Formats: sequence, C-alpha cells, structure tokens
Amino acid sequence: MIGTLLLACVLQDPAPPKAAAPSPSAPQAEKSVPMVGTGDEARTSISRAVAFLLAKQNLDGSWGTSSVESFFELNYSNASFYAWKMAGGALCTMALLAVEETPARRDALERSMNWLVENPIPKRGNDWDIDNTWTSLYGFNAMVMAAKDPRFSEGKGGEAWSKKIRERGIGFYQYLAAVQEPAGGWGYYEGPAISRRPTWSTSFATACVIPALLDAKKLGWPIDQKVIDRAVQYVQHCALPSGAYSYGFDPIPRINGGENINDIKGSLGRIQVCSWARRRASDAKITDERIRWGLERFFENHRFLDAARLMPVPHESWYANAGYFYFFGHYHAALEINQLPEAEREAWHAKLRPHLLKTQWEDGATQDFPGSFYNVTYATSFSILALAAGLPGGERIR
Amino acid sequence: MKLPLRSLLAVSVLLACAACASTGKDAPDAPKGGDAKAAPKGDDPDEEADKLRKKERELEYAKMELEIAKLGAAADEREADTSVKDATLKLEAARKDQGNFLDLDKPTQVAGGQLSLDRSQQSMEESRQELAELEAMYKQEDFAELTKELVLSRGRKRLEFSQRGFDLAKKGQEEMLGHDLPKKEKELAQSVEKAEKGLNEAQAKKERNSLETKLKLMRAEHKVDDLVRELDKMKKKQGEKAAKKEATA
Repeated sequence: MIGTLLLACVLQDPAPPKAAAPSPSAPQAEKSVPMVGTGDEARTSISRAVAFLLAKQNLDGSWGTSSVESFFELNYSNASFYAWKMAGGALCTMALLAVEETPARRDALERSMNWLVENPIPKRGNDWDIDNTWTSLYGFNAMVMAAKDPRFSEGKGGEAWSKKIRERGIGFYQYLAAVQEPAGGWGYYEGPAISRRPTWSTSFATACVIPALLDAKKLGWPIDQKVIDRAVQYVQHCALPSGAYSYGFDPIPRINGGENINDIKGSLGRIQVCSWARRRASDAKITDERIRWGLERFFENHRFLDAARLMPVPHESWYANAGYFYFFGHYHAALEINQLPEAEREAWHAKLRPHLLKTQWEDGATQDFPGSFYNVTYATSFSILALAAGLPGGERIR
Repeated sequence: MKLPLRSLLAVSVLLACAACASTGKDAPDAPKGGDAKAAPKGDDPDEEADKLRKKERELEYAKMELEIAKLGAAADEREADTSVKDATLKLEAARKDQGNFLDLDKPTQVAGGQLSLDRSQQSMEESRQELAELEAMYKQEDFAELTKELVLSRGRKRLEFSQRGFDLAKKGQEEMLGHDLPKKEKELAQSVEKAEKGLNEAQAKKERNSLETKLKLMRAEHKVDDLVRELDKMKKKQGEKAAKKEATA
C-alpha cells in the first residue's frame, strides 16, 4: 500500500521545480567558450567532421574494427567490439543522412548503408554484457531515418534500398522486442536474473528509440504497439519529482540524498532524451515549459558535463556523470530544441553550438570517452547530428 | 724482725681464704671449678675491661638494629601505602567501568541493537513493497512471463531472507537485553565489590603493620636505652673502684 502511494507520488510528474544553486566545489564552466555559435560555424564544423569520417571509413563501408583497441575496455565481451563497430557505423550513417550531399558523401553513405544492411546483427556477448543492444537501438534509428529519406525510397534503386532497409530495420526491431525487459525498457547489461530476456534497463537507452518506433509504425512496419506503450510507460516511471530521470528502473524510485546520479546535475544527459521521447509519444505532460525547464537546467549545470568529458572511468565525475553522457546529451538537447516553437529554436541552438564546437579537434573529430575507435565515430556523429539539427531543415533529424 | 718459715706459709693460707670469702656473688664470671687460688674476678681489671667492651659492643649492635628497624618500618609503610593505593585505583577503575557500562555502553548497545533491528525491519518492509509493486506491474500485461517469474522468484526469496534476517536480529536483541547485558552488569558489580574488599583489606593490613612496626621500634629503642644505662653504671662502678684503689695505694 505504502509502495503504491509512493509510486503514485513519483508518477505525478509535478511542475518542473526550481534548480538548486550550484555547489561551491562544483567545477567551473570554461570561460573561453563563447556564449553563442552561429550557423556558419556549425556548417564549418560539420564539414570538417564529415571529412574526418570519410577519411576514416573502411573500404567495406564500416568504421573502426571489431577488436578491442584500448586497455580501458578489456573487461568487455569480445562480441561487443563488433557490436559497437556496427552501432558506431549506424550513427555515422545517420550523420551522413543528415548533412548536405556531395558525391563523395553520397558514396560514403551508400557504402555505410550497405555494410549496415548486409552484415550480421550482433549477438549477446556473454552472461552480463549485452552491449549489442546499442547496435539494435541505433541500427533501428538509422534504418528508420533512412527509410524516411527519399534517396533510399524513390528513384533508381530506391525500391531495392527500401526493401533492404525495411528488412534490416525489422531485424533490429525483432531483437529489441525480444529483449525488452519485463518492465518495458532496454538495457545493455544483465540484471538480477540472468535470462534470455534481460532484467535490467535504463531510462535513456529506452527513450532513445521510442520516436523511431513511432515513426516505423507510421511507415507501416510491423511494430507492436504494446512494445511502444511499455517503453513509454517505462520512461514515465523513471521521471522523478525533481524533474530528473532515474538512471535505471526501480519499482519504488528513491533518492539517497547528497551527490547522486539521479539528481538533476547527474541527470543532464537523460532529461533531454526522456522528455524528447515522451513528447514524441504525445505525452501531454511534456509541455513547452517543461522542455524549456530541461534545457535551462542543461545549460545552467553544463559544467558537470564538461568536467566528466574524457574522464576514463565511467561515472567518476561529480554526480556520477560519465564522459559518454556528453554528446548523447547534446544530440538529444538539439532534438528537444526542435520540439519548441520555431521562433525560439535558433536562440537555443546558438547556445548549444559552442559546447560542440569547442570539443572539435584539428582533424575534425571529437570524443567524450577514451577507448576504441567507435568512441570517436559515435561522438563525431552525435556532434554532426546535433549541429545539423540546428540548421535549416534540421527538423527532419528526429 | 725475723719470721720463721712455718709462720709465712700460715699467713698465705689465711689470705687466700679471706679472698675466697670476699668474692661470693660478685664474681659471676669465675670459671666453673676454677682455681681456688685465683684472685676474685670483680677485682680483675682485665675482666672488668672485657665486660665493659662487650657491653659497648652490645650497645653498638642494638643501635644498628634500631636503625635497621627504622628502615624496615619505612619500607613496610611504603609497601602498605602502595597496596592501599593499588587497591584504591582498582576500585576506582571497577567503579568507572561500571559507571561507563550503565551510563553509556549499555544504553548505546541497546540503542544500536534497536537501530539494527529497525533497519532490518525496514529492509524487510522495502523488499515486501518492491515485490508487491513488481507483482502489480507485471500483472498488468501477459508479457515475458518466464522472465517475470525469474525476477519475482528472486524478489520473493529476497523478502524471505529479509524476514529471516529480521527474526534473527530480533532474537539477538532479546538475547542481549535478557542475558548479555544483565550478565555484564552483574560481573561489573562483582568487580566493584571485590575491589572494595581489596581496599578494606589493604587498609586494615596497613594499620596492623603500623602497630607492629611501632612495637618493633619501641623494643629496639628500649634495648638501646637499657644498654646505655647498664654501660653507664658499669663505667661509674669501675671509676669508683679505681678511685678507691688509688686512695688505698
């Protein structure tokens, strides 16, 4: 009974609360970063980043290798490196789908698309490591994005591409449907019980695929509405009274107090993706006001993401922020901005851009977490996608 | 005037008899079965001198014995003081242990045990709530039944273990309240009682030792005093004899 009441309180999803003042010991924002970035600066950055991706693409259309390339990742299953290669490749494909076309970019896009649809869908690595879920999450996102792109559905070869993309998209979906945990989410590690259907999941992994599931259903793909409903309810359950989202799923959510990953400052990489997904799922609670509140918290506390970026140990930074929250969070912040009225989007994108531009290296790439090469491909692709979302026509990146 | 030889011998015999008659009890040092012809001991100056020297030695010995007795008395007093001090410290420590137990240790143990019990109960309650939530959520849809059962069976076991853990914690608290703490309290009270007896014993022993020491010293002092008096008497007597002799001569 008490549990039900507590759960009800959590699920009430109250109006966004005011954020607490930053703690005195918190890291300071980089002062050299300009307050705003222009569209031209974004285009320049995108050009350099895409040039990097094209230069690093393998002849077969993929990026990176299927082997461990970093001492930081020796603990993972061998199978996960192929899985991450394909997940990173899916994000590269999405990035190439999002940018203006040139012959070289088109060639790279078709080769990457071909590699994605022709190669085996990765399998589970071992008892605990199921990072192959990331491949299906972003592989599915990439296939849905491609399916909506006229270049792969119309004209010469469009039908053949459309068929392959649909089949591969459904393949990724079937995997996701098979591993959706009983509570409705998706995760990348095993939970309390080791079983064919995993028993642990996270709010952000679940949220990141919901809009693609909705789009796929509209495309006429055989998507079970129950899979979507479960996922949406799962993300709604992860919403905390503070406005933050819990990392994982707890039957009765709790905050331990103090510096916690489920505080707003530890939830900066999750608030945007969860709100974006709920809004796409027509959740009436995610109003414009709510989205603005989330973006304000994102920029107000951005120093915590800065401090965590490139730290080698997961969750070692303040509020358990991990380096790999950075570009995931910025990408979904850009998508969330595009859910606001058109008149106010540019101001938000202008505010977001400097935090992407400042991270770009001379070769055009970027990174937020040390490790094998897929860390570079996903980060660079997220950055391209986030910047492209802020340019005219960016709304198609959904 | 000329005396005949027979007359001289008779005089010698008479003098000897007179000498024997004059010694009597005043010649205690005369050798047993001694020479009847020897002079009376009391009148022998060498003998007198020996007696005096012996007495002087006796006095020296008695004085030394008195010094030894005084040193021994001081040592005994120190030892008795130490014993009383030790016994006092033991009593203080025992009382402190008892006070610490009653004022701090016992209430802390009782409160700590209760906190542990409350935590255990809360943990059990949370397990029950979470299991109930999961069961309620899982019942909403026929989906992933096998996986749900795997998760729920672990949840049920967790609840069972929490319940058993709580029962054990409860028993532990009861044992602490009903046995461990009263036993400890009794042991500490006994320690205080024992230490009090030890102090009383040490104090009584000290008083007895004090009287014994006083007696020893008194005896030694009196002995010295007696010897001094005897020696003075002997010297006086010897002086009188010497003066008499000088006057006779």
